[in-house]
Amino acid sequence: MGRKLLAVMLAVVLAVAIAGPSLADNYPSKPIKFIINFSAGGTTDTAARLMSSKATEILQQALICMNKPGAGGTLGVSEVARAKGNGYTIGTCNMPAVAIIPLTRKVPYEPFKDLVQVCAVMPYEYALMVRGDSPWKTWEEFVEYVKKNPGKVTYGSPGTGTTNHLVTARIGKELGLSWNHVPFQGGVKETAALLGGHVDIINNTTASVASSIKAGKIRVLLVTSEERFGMVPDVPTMKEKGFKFSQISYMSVVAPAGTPPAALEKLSAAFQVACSDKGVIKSCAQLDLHPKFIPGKQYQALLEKLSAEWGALLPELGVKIKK
Amino acid sequence: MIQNRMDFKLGIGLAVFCIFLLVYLIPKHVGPLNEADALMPTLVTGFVLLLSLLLAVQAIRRPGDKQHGAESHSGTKGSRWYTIALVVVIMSAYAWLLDITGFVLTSLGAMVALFLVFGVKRWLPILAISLGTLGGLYLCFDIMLGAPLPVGTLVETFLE
Amino acid sequence: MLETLAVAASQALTLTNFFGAALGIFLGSLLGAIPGLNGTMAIALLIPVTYTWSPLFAIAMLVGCWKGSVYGGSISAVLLNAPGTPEAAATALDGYPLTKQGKAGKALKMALYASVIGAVFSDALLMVASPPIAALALMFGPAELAMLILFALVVVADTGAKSQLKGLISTALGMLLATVGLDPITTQQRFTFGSIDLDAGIGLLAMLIGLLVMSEVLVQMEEGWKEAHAEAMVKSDDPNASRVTWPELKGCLGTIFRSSILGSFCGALPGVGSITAAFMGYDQARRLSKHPERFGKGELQGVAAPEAANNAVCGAGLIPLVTLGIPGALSAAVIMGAFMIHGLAPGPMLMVEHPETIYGLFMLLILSDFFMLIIPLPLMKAGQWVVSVPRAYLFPVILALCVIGAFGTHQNLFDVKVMVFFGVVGYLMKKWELSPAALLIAFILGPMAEVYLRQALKISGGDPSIFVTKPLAALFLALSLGAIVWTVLRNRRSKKTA
Repeated sequence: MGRKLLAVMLAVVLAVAIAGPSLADNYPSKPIKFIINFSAGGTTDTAARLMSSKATEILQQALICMNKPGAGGTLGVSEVARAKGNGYTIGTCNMPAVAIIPLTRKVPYEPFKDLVQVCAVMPYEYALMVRGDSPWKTWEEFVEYVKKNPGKVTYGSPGTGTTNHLVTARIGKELGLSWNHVPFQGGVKETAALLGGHVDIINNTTASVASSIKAGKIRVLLVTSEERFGMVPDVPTMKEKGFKFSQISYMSVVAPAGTPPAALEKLSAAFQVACSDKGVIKSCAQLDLHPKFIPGKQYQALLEKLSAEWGALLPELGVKIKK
Repeated sequence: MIQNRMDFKLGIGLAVFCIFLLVYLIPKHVGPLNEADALMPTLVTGFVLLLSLLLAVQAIRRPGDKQHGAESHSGTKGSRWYTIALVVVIMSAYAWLLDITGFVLTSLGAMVALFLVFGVKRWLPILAISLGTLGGLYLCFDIMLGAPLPVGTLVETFLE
Repeated sequence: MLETLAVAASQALTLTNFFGAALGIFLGSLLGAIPGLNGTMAIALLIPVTYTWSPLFAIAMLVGCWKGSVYGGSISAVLLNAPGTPEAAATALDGYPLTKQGKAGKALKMALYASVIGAVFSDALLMVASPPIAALALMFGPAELAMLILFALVVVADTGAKSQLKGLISTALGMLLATVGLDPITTQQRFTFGSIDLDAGIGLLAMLIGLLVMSEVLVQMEEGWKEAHAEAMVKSDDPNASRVTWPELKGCLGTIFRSSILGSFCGALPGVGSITAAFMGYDQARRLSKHPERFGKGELQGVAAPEAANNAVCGAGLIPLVTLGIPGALSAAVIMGAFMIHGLAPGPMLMVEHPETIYGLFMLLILSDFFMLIIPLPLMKAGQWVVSVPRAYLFPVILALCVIGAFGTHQNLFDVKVMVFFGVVGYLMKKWELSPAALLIAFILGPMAEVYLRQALKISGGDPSIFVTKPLAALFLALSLGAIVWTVLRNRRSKKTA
């Protein structure tokens, strides 16, 4: 009995080993684990779930969403990096988790070796904003005030080493502003501090404060993303104001290194359809989110460029670098 | 003589732990004191050190409250220390094996082992309660909520 | 306005929506009552399921689930001394002693009445006074919050310990444990020993389950569970042992009212949360009581106070959410996702753009609070039956639930290891007469104190006078000092009388 069982087990193992390479042909043959690297209820989570339900239809297999939030998104990303590269574990990823954080502290993955970018699906849209009843109507007025009152103005970010912090610090450095950085724990507390008048200006995603912007409680002074926003069409971008950089971070889909190219292609195609699906776009638009597809290779190249660019600047911006 | 042995040992033990934190763990795993990161851990550790020394000194002079000590029960009807240790060992094995042998097998094994340790010898209730609990959890997590419990790497290999 | 209300009522007060709220309360109290499982987990796991439902149904159900679980936790806290939810940790302090006196029914009913009063109070505030309360909440910036947390730490520091010294040691140990993980300001690693899992810090729920539930199993093993079981099965000769009499309820009303205000306040402040509220509620009841020495030995006020406070957090936790788009409590943050997925972007425009939905929701919430008077009753009975099962049959199930509960919250296997570790820590702490409850509350408050202090100093450019020049910060600083003086004076007085 025991020997028979052993033989059967061995046969199964062998069969799996032999059948392995051909698995990609009928991929996906079982549900796919989709690890979301932020908590349930946030923007990333909402967008990911909206897209995954569309992607499920196309792939004909369920994407099982699991939230693995924490440590600036690195916890979820490392979970993907550690998984087997068989196409059945993928996850969401933000730009700092691969391009910036690995430079500042130890993470258990090599961002460009252990992970493959399947595709980027949605840009995060950022801006510098002040309270609706503050005296500054334009970016120039604000800059002038900071220059006249060195050391008095405070700016908030959702945390040290976030793109929000780095971009704002770099703006300050290029303009020679003397102001103080106050890192909060996430965008929610940052927004509360701005609304309560405890900091003067913050860099945050516009989607998370859309309602306050429409109500006039928050005024956008400068768009730090590449292009102007439909919500505040008159506010200029930082590129228009003569800066040579801007705040670029996408929500992307990542897979572990070693995932078969055929599987990557199928996944990428599914998310491309999901990004341009009318229903998804409409649901996202209600929350002021705007999906946009970028092929994986192209986004990977962008990440490598951004990593090199920001890496060189980190010490100047007052961020500690990994020893 | 020392009046309250338990408190004295506790105070000294904590003090030793704090010194270990101050001279080794904090410098090695947080950073030098002049940095903001290390300020809070150092301050709190210093505080614990102070309090635990105080506790040890107090214990020398003041006798403990005999009525409430956990010792008063042991040896009579309570489990022996090795039974408690056994439960801890089973729970640790449960936690570490969950990833490998998966939710169903590990939980079943652990629950049966726990029942035996607790002195339940009849197999019918053991299996009925274990399988009932696990079935309920599986139904709840995997089927209703779509949040799967771990399958286990070993089991996964077989299922493929 | 009246028209809006009429439309709101007709949309919201449907049988389906009431069913949703009732279902939520039932699920919440069930999961809350099961040691190891809890409501935050239920809400996080339910969110994706609710995406396809209508917004009012989904939100009423999630909020019901939240409230239900906050109450449900007290069932296991009172009956087994193993709080099913973090909020109920304070309820166990006096609830379990009442069970040992054969008055489990009384304690559970008192917890229920206090919960419902707290919930109605805070929902009423949500409905009529959201804007001014939200404005008040915004006045609390890092400096004010730092002093508020300091005050909370001072007042709850010795909760549940046998001596003040051991209470303080437990508190400090909690603060020390909370420094594990990424530094909240510089994001450098502290005590992570190269483990990515520790980067996110020690998981609160995993730690709680180990510290309060698993440890209790080990403690009862050592004390002899047959004995513990017999103690808990004591029949009281008090004819009112399983109900709350009117004079008893009346005697607690003052406490319940004060706790409701405290709870609402904690709920409206982003990030302060229901656990803090429960402990502060417990503490105010003890401080203002004529018989503080009865607390911890089965004082009914000690059950009513934390339960009113932690339930009052729920409604108030929605105040900053619907007025500012800022969730006040952990579960409110998760519920925000339910608003968003249905196209209701939380924030000041919510009331303007969707007044019918929001007012409808308010009405639904207040009315469904009264369901709480009925729905948990069968669970209460079931709970009392379950604890009458011999513990040898009960404990393996509880231990398995601890493992699954620790895993389920974040679907993280590391959390299970954390849970087992803290199970042992909690056992040792109880053996050495340290207070796991004080450690827990300090674990929550400690890092907040650190973050807000450092943020405030960043705002002021390193000048500590910010804590005195800001009026609210100065107020709480003064209150903290006052509380310390009070404690010292009272100790001296009790020594004199003794």
